[in-house]
Amino acid sequence: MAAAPNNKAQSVLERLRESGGVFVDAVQTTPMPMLVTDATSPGNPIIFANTAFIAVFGYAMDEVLGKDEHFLSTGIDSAEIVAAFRSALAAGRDETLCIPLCHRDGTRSLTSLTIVPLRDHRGEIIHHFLSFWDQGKSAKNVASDRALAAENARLIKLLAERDLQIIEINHRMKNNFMQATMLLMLEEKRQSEPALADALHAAGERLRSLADIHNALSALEKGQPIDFGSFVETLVRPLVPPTMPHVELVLCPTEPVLVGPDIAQPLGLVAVELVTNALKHAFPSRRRGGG
Amino acid sequence: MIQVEAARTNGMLRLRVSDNGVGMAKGADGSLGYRLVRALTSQVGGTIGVDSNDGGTTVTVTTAA
Repeated sequence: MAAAPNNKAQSVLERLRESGGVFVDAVQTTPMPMLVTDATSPGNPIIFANTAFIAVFGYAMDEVLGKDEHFLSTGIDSAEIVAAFRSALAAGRDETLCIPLCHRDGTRSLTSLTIVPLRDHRGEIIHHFLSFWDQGKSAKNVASDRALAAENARLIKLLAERDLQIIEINHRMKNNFMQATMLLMLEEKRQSEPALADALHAAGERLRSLADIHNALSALEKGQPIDFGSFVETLVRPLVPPTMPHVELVLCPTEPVLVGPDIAQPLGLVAVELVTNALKHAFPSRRRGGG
Repeated sequence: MIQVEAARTNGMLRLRVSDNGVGMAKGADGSLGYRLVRALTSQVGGTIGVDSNDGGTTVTVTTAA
């Protein structure tokens, strides 16, 4: 069974996955077997195994998730191997061990295992990346293969760190948009000049729409298309104030229309402007505020 | 009623916003809102069609996408 997803590190991995950053792709597509553990949970359980790991070691995903990393040495393990694991994990730096590991079919192979910790912005270890490399299969260039394996693990860690940073920056941008919107709203409330208050109100609304667009698009993978219809709906739906219940907003259900973020961004704003204009000017007799 | 429609036909993306209101006032196309719409549309190489009378306004933005 999978580890219960009720902790901080699980959510970090989830965020990485949802963000669709390159890290997840890199771990999935590397030919090197890899595991990811949750270092914030007791027992440091495995929460992710890549395709190469499943293929090389032969375990089913269910047999791996939730286990602690020593399970691979079950049957052959000695206190010595577990102690080697533990001290490598505790060291908090990149470590490479060479230990015999069990495959699902019972065979064992001498495996080089690189353990790389991933830290959060406070410096606490939240994950370990475990990369495996079968020493038996490439006896010729053991030293250089080992160096390559360790380098691969290190690069994947850098990708994860970069992805986490992008998530953090997007989050900060969202907060900045919110704060700027709030400032304009406060300014608006202070204005006794109606024309000025209107202009500030409109600017605040535009900024809010920009923030919505940013949020919707930053959740996408790089260049990934978005359904323009539902994207526009999330943008224009909140524009209709509760004081205008007589204005019905109809979104024509059509087939999903996929567009790239480069088109969605400006045309999303166009939709916001056009709907805002219609709300403001098309129905003057029942204008907001009663006229 | 305000109707928003997004569709793709013949490789062209069409965004249409129509209302059954009073129609655009004279000079409304010089407003900041419409200037923004024109700027954003030309940014994606699109065209704008406006059809407005006392039965309502329909604005259609079309671009290759």
